[in-house]
Amino acid sequence: MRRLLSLLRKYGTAVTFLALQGISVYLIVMKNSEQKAIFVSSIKRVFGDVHEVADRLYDIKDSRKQQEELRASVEELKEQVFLLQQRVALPSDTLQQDTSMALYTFIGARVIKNSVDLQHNFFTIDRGTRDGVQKHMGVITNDGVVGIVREVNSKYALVMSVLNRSFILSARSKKSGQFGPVVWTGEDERYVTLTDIPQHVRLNLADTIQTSGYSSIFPKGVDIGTIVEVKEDNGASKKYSVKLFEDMRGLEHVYVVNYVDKDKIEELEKLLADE
Amino acid sequence: MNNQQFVYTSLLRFMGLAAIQVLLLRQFALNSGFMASIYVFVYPLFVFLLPRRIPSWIVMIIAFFCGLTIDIFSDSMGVHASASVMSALARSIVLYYLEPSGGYNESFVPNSRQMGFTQFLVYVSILLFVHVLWFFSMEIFTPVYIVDILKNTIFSFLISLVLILPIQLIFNPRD
Repeated sequence: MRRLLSLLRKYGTAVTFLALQGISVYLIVMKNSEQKAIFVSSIKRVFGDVHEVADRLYDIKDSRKQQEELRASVEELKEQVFLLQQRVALPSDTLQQDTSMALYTFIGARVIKNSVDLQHNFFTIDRGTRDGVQKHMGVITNDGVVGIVREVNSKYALVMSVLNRSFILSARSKKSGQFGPVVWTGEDERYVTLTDIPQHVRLNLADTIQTSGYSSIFPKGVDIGTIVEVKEDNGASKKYSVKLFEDMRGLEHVYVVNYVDKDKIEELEKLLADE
Repeated sequence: MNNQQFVYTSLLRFMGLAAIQVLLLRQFALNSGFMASIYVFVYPLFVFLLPRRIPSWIVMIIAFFCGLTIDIFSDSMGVHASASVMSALARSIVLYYLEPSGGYNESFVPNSRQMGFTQFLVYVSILLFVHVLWFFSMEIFTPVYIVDILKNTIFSFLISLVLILPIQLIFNPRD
């Protein structure tokens, strides 16, 4: 104790100085936002975080360009796949005049804004009319269906997400071909509901659900998800819970589906409506 | 002058300096957008002029609270306090080196009357420079802007010094 006191007497000034300077710097860092930010970033630099982040940023810059290139090639490949599927599906005795013409073209896009927590979810993509995007086009990813274009301007398009209570999609079971509308009930961002399946139809768990192609929005056979359980059975029809293939929360790269012959089909339908 | 009197006059002196600092000079600091951001310091004079007989660690505590008072009024928590503690350290070092061979008189106060103008100028210049330099270092808080720190320091130091010398005559303690 005596030694401690004599030490204090000897180094009292130094101890007081360090203590007061410590309090001051603590106050500066805690009470001033600017100094706090500098302090935090300095600490981070000491531990090398900043370098890592910077490196990653440079990587991202580089990979943007590569992504763009990849996206273009995927668009092209997707078109070819659908063209070939179409050709394979044709009965062999059908006389096909113009098989080289693509039925669908794809416009690659990046999701720049997304929501999954609302009842009526939309997301925004960085492609618009100048890239060929139009209202009511379907939007898919490599994993499955994600939405339908609702509004579009020259540079951007607003897409109604699958996770929107107004969204209805004609779907069918890959195995049995049974079809019904798929809707979202607003509960869980991972599941949609396949509705209006008649009592007598048996759908197995783990069956894959695809688009039916009975509309001009999506091509036939784009995956949606797999059946996980019978959700509701009201006696007349059944509802199935379908787990989406696509993680809607992590949505990033999407393709807008352009159905080339859409105009012609709509023309026909309009004739019918006019009659 | 007894101790009680000394405390009262000291408090009055500090309130005077703080008032000048907070009410008059803050306006000036805000309005000068020229070349460097100039901050005029007068309140450090209070610590500079404390009698020699007060132990240096108490001087530091006094300086800390003086700085903190200015901080509260100028919304810069801790910056003035840190600078004041730093100049209080400089004060004890400078006084140690300026000590005459016979040692200081018991009632020695570092003012121009007892030190002589030249020595007092040296004393105030060193302390003020340390104070201002540390103030801007803490305010800007990163060595990235070292040029700004030095520029601000030099301009603020010169203007503060010109102001402090006459003020020192007004607030000159008698003993």
